[in-house]
Amino acid sequence: MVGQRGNRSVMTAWLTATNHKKIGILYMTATGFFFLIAGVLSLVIRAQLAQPNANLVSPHVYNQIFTLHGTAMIFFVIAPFGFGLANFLIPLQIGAPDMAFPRLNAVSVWLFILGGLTVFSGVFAQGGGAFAGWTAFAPLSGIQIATGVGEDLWIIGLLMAAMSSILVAINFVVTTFLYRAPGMTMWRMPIFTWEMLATSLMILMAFPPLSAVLFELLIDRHLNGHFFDPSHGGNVVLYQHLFWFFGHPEVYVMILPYFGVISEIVAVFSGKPIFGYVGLVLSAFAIAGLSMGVWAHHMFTTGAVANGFFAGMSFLIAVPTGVKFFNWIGTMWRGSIRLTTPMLFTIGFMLNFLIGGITGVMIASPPIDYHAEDSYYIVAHFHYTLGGGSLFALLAALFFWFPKIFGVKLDERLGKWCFWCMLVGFNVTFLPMHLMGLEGMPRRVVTYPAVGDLPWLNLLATVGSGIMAIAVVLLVVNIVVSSLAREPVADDPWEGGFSLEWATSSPPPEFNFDQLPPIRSERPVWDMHHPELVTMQT
Amino acid sequence: MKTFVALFISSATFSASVCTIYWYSSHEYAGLLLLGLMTLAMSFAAGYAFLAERESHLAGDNPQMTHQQAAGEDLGIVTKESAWPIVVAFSVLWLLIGMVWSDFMIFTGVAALLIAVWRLGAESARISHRRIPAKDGGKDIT
Amino acid sequence: MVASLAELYPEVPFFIGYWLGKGCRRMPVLYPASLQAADLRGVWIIFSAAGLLVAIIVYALIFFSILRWRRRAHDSGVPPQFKTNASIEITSVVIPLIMVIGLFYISYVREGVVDFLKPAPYAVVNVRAFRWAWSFSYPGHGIVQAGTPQSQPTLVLPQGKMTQINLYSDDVDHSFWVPAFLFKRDALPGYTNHFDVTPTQLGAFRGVCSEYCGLDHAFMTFTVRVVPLATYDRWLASGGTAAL
Repeated sequence: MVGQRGNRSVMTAWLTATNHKKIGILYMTATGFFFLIAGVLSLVIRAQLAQPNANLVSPHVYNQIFTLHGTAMIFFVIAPFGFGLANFLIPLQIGAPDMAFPRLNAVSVWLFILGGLTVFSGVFAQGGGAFAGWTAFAPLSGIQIATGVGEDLWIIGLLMAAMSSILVAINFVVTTFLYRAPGMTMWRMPIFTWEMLATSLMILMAFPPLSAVLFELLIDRHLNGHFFDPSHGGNVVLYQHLFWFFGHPEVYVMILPYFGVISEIVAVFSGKPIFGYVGLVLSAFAIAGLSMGVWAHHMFTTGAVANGFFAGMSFLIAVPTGVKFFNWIGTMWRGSIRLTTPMLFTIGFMLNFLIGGITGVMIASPPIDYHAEDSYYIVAHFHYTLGGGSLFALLAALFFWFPKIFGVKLDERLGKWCFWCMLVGFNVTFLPMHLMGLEGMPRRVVTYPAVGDLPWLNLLATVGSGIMAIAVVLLVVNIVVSSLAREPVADDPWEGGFSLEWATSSPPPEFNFDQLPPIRSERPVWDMHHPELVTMQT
Repeated sequence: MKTFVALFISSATFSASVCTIYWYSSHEYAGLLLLGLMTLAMSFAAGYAFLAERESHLAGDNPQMTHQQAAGEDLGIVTKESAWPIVVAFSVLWLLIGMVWSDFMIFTGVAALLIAVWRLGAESARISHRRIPAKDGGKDIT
Repeated sequence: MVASLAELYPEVPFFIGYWLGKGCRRMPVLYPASLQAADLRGVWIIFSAAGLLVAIIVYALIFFSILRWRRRAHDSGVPPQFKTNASIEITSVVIPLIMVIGLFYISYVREGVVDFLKPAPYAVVNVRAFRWAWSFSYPGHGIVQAGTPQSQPTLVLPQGKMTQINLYSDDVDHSFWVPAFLFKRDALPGYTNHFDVTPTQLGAFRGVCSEYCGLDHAFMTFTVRVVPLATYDRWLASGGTAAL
């Protein structure tokens, strides 16, 4: 196992760890626990919404549940799993012994873990936890209405997560630019590393405004501020501008690492180099740049923003995303496709994310958004991109890199069962939500009337969530059972890895590489295994 | 390294264009400030990148470089472990809670943070740098 | 009782058609209740058609690749290692770009039509949102009807005539959504929002608050009653007491 210490306890070793592999494992394990909690919360939501006019939980409890579910999934599961994976992989993929700033890395992970625990601890506060939604719009989140300390704990936890993300982004950028092995030019880096570079730039531009708006909220709440209080010259739309300037790049922070994951996996299991490498890199930065200019498409119905500008920019983002899709298909084209568990989740990603992307282009149009905004149509859209997209890619990454990280290969048969349950369960849950939204069901509602198709659509969605729960159980069982079986894992257990992490043992030694292969293309390990096919490349 | 420069120059140009077009379509101040600050940040990075690129000779940037040729290049610091990062995280949590709860917590939190940063600095003086050894591989030699 | 499953078969398409038809009838997008909604429906239909086309093409490409080039047990060697094709890559930028520009144009024009506040409305209603109900006042006629979370208020509108709605909020962000009109607008504290609506269908339509506003957000509903013009005028003249 990585870093066993003779005379120090294992716990001390982990609490004082600075090695990027340990920090990556800390990140990903913590997100695993937060995911299970957030997942249970979603099951409670679906249980409450299974029937109209139900009262399984009271409105106040329900409001805390959906607030915590959203906050946890966004800030403490999807995004940080990407950071953890990147922490583990980036130095390996570029041939470096560690990150540029190992102790700063450790600060990031502990800020993240403590921040998460702080947010979750809000449920024990007097008056309950935060209930203003993951967006916490002022004045709802102001001190007059959100009187309890639960909302403050939410703000503090998020401030810590924000600082954590900014610091880890700095680490990624510096490491990527400065610590590449000899021969590893920028244009030979794996796509995952490039996507993380684009993600890091978005983090650096987007998270400071989040910190600003959270501090302003704290000042309004406790220091007699009136940033968002119209009765004293403040402005509620200002909150939305600041929040969404962060909030929109945040969703791309939650998808770009996973675009990288998909690019890696689809190439390895098609047996071909990734198609359109340059296009994938340029589209990553096009998405990152454009994502900074679309924020007020979340504000079309306020009547207070320049809808045309934001609609135009939002439509443009569809183009680089489409480029990626065509490049992934081009990678599979005339390949030799192996349907392993990671590849199945990758294909599931493509099928699901396409739907999310299409509804995204639709709601980028203000006339359409006038009906869809704040309805279950939006809930469907973002679950298709973040759940059907990011979560599926997260699971693909988990199955693909688990052997490398832990020296344990997850069981393929259980993995495939997990995939099919997840694919069916996910679509049964979220496809009906498009119709719910179209028929007029708003979001963030504790219950709904027995009108139209809402009752049976909601019941169907609840059934789907149960199937997804089974998939998660299968995943946990898989991890436990495979870890107990403990069969040794080769350097390249998938027999076809391309990037440098597959050139070292599973798990890697402390400083990653005893020996590095020569780096003459974007697939150094493939070149090493297929010397007869290597041509001189830049 | 030319990629590094190109990246930030294009980002700065892009940000400046978006900011300008935004102002003309909306005359809205919050967005102007946010996009304007983004432009400044990217321009600063672009300027720095441009100046730094002239003196950079990274082994990683040379497509033909081998480990033998790159022997001696600095791979940065490598720390075995350190207790101070988790202390930093706890003191940040303490001082943020203090913002809501008590001034005493703010003062002690800031003090703890400063102590942790001081100790981290002291640690840095003792940390060795790894260098690329003469033969292929990444073993620590200093 | 059916003697065999075969007897059911002719019924199945009828049932599917019946339920689809019933379902469609409940879909405001297909049965708009105002002039503005009829305009907005056009955008929905065009975008949905474009989206469906893209989905079919991309799904076909994905499924085809998997089925055609799946690695079989007897396969050996490596597949062709091509990784770039300039014309395909450029096409994959240009065609979506053209599509997106076209869709933007359609969207922009339609939005302008719907958002433009036309002069001389036949009726004006001031809508006030507060935690957790709505209040409708008809200036000049002295009628104010406020609701509570337990009893939802009714907004009365004349069929075929343009009503201007002014939106205010007393406390937090709310949003005024009438699904039948395919339209919503936020009610924000410190702001006044205005929009026009010209209802075309008679009847009672559901209205909801669609910006989360706290505890009883789900119960902050209202009804929109669209009545014939003569009924509306009589109702106004009576100070809101005449039967509808």
